Amino acid sequence: MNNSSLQKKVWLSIAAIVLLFVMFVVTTYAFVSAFLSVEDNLFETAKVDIDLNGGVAIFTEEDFALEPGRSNKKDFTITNNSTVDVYYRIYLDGIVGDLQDVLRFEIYDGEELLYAADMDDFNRDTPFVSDKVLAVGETKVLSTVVVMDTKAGNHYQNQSCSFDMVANATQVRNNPTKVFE
Amino acid sequence: MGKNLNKKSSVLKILIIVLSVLLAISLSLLVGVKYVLPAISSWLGDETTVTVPNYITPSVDGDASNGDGTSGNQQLAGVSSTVQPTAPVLEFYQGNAEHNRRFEVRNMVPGDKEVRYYDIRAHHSKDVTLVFRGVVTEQTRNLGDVLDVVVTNAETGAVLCEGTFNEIHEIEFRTVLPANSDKVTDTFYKVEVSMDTSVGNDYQVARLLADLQWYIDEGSEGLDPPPQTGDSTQIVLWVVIAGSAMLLIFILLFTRRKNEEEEAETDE
Repeated sequence: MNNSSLQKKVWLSIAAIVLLFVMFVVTTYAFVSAFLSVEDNLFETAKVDIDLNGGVAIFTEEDFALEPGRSNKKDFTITNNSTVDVYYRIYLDGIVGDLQDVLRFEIYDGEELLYAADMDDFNRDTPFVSDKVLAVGETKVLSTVVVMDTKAGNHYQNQSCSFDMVANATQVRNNPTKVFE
Repeated sequence: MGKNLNKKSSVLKILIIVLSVLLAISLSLLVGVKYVLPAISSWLGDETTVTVPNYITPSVDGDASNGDGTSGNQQLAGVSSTVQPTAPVLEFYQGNAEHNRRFEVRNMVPGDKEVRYYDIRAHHSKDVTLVFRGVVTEQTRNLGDVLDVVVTNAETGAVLCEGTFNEIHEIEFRTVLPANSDKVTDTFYKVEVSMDTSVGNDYQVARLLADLQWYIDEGSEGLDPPPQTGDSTQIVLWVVIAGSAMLLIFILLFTRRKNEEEEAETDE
């Protein structure tokens, strides 16, 4: 056997010894360590997300060509894109224009009247809050009717009004009083 | 020079054999204590019973509380204490199939609470310190700031650890297990993880992974460093690595012998 071959063997042997020693230490440590572990405990929080009419405006400018006593009805959708069941609320925000004094809003589920309020009062403090749970992935079709006060005088001719309709959602679980953040 | 190398080679060969034997012994002990003994213990399980007072198994929803001392008692199929190794050994006591399971909680909302029970059996012949430690291994949106953890001794109601995951991260919580004639101590832990109703939208779609660890600290005054965290402590991993090393050694020895034979044939 030549020297280089023998040298190679020696190095191989040393490598084997090192490996053996490391493994011996590792197994001995594992044996005496008395260690228990419950690995990868997972906690994931839910998503609460709601869609109002696909982001499309419910009323357009033409819809407000109203006369005293006349009304306009529009359907809209509300969809629960959350990962949990939710309650939702709807209100108006950013109202601009004089017409707000003489407009009244109503919300219907089919023929059932769910909510009615003057435009001024249809706000975040006194919103429409759903009684029913909106399940995960569920889409609800509701109607809103805007009615102009019969007593509205000529002062309101050619007046307009703009506003945002806002929907919020909140979890159903652990929330019996329907608290919205 | 050739003689020297030959001599070195022989010494190394002896070293390899000695280490191989030691490794084999260590590996056998490891497998025996971690797997064979618990299996034997389970097989002999009718011999004794362990009572867990005031202790109710959680519902599927995980929300559970301690009982009132009358209805909460249950008897668990016990494990014989006739087979006990001398070194302190911890094992999950498999008396209840619902216990010792990891948390897997999705769609948590504020106000949710999840409970798991862990039954720890320590084999020891002297006073030992049982250490609990929670280790957050991954989190998004700092969820660990708002996930509360409470670890209580389900038997006595004593609170071992309380705080958010980020507060208890890698902190050791110790309990002394006094030596007893059975050389076995069973400890039952209730781990509650909850999220307060005041937690806001910032924590939506957040995620946290954590390890719950128990180990025996035999060092007095807690001066011994704790085991490293993470996968490096997984027993299965140790066994696999050790097995792989053994295999590698056999391959190495086989190759070496084969080379020697080939060289001998060439010399002839």
